[in-house]
Amino acid sequence: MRAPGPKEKSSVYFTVLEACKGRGCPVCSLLTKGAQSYIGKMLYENVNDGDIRGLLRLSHGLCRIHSVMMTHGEDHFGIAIIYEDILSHIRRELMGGRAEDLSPLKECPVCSYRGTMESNYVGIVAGFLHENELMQALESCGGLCLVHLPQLMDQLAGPIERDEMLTLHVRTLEQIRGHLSEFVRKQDIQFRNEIVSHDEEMACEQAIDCLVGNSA
Amino acid sequence: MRAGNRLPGWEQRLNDGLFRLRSLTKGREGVKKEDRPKFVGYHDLLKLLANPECPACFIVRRSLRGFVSMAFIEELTVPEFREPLRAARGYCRDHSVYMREGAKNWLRKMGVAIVLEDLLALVQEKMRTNETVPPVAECPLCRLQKDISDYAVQLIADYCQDNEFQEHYDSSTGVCLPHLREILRLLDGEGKTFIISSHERKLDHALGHLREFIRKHDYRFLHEKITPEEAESWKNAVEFVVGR
Repeated sequence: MRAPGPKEKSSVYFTVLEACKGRGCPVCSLLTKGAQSYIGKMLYENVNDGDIRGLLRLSHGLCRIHSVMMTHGEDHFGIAIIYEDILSHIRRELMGGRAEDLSPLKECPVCSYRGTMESNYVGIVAGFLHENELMQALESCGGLCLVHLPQLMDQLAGPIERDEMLTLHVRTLEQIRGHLSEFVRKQDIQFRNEIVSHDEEMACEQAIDCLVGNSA
Repeated sequence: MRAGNRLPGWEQRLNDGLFRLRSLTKGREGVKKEDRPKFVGYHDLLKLLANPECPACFIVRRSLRGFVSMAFIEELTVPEFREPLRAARGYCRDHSVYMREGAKNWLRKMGVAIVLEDLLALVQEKMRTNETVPPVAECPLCRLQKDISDYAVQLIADYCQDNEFQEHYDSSTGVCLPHLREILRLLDGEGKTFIISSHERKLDHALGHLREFIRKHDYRFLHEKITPEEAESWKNAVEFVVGR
């Protein structure tokens, strides 16, 4: 079997490329999808898996963000089975009456999975930034959010690639700022007759996504 | 409070309020439980215990939402509101939800847009000098949330030995697990025993509903009707573990 070269395009590369077709940070959208899929599998396929249940018992289920995501799903029965186990565990710990016993001993499993996926996706972007198709795709979606951009910059060695990335993001920020300024200007009584465009209407959401990311 | 640095109006008022409430409940160790002052915070707490959610979570959420909604209208040009926000490059992922709420409200949207434009300009300026500078300060709402949460937890811990409070607490859903941990850290003796036994009963009750919900999914018992409490049990269990 042929050994994969250092720059061989894997399926993850094409997944990232596909994610760039949407609006906003592709890493964020892939992480949200990944978390949804992990939770879906956990509730459907792994609900009786001893290892996963043990892990969930130690982590006291999922963190708040992922719990909200889980409760928005349809699998209430899976949640009931898992949380019956977690509550029984907490009930036993409560008998000791020590606050320390009621603290989770492990990180939320979705968060740890997310961490792995995050470095994987950012690594793929960093590794293939010389590819024109990836660069163009990133330009069309406006690049990464300001949470993932520093992670990407840390992995970029070449000054040309770093400059290109910064230029791309400065352009994106300029565009969002333009929409925000226009939105604010049109709130002035003198310009109230000017119609606020869709982009200007959505500029706040876009700016927040850009600043803190939009991933769960 | 930060020395020599005036907080913006709403945060200042909130901190003053917290300080007054703390001073009211301070140094009661030697005071008989029936003599403890029952001020507006106590009666607010009793009212909140009637709701089916953790009262401490509610107090935190209500205060943060109040602070953010007023700040984006009244404090927009106050440097003490804007500077911590600039240093933290906006609110964190958890608290950005309050900004998103503001962006959906016509009254606050312009304020949110002005602040965001300023933050993006700051980041853009850094990028132009070839930097991707990470935030240099903690999210201002994280700091405020901790203060409010400490106040709510202290309030509950203070009245754990009060008969009237115990009656209300026993018939409520109680606090969530993260706040329960904090309360237990503050308590000992009779108050701790009450909180533990009350939560043992609440957990037994919740587990009973969950087990019935699971049992009634078995094909042999599918004809048995799921009660509203059982139907909500999975959601309540998740809410107890992580808070709201």
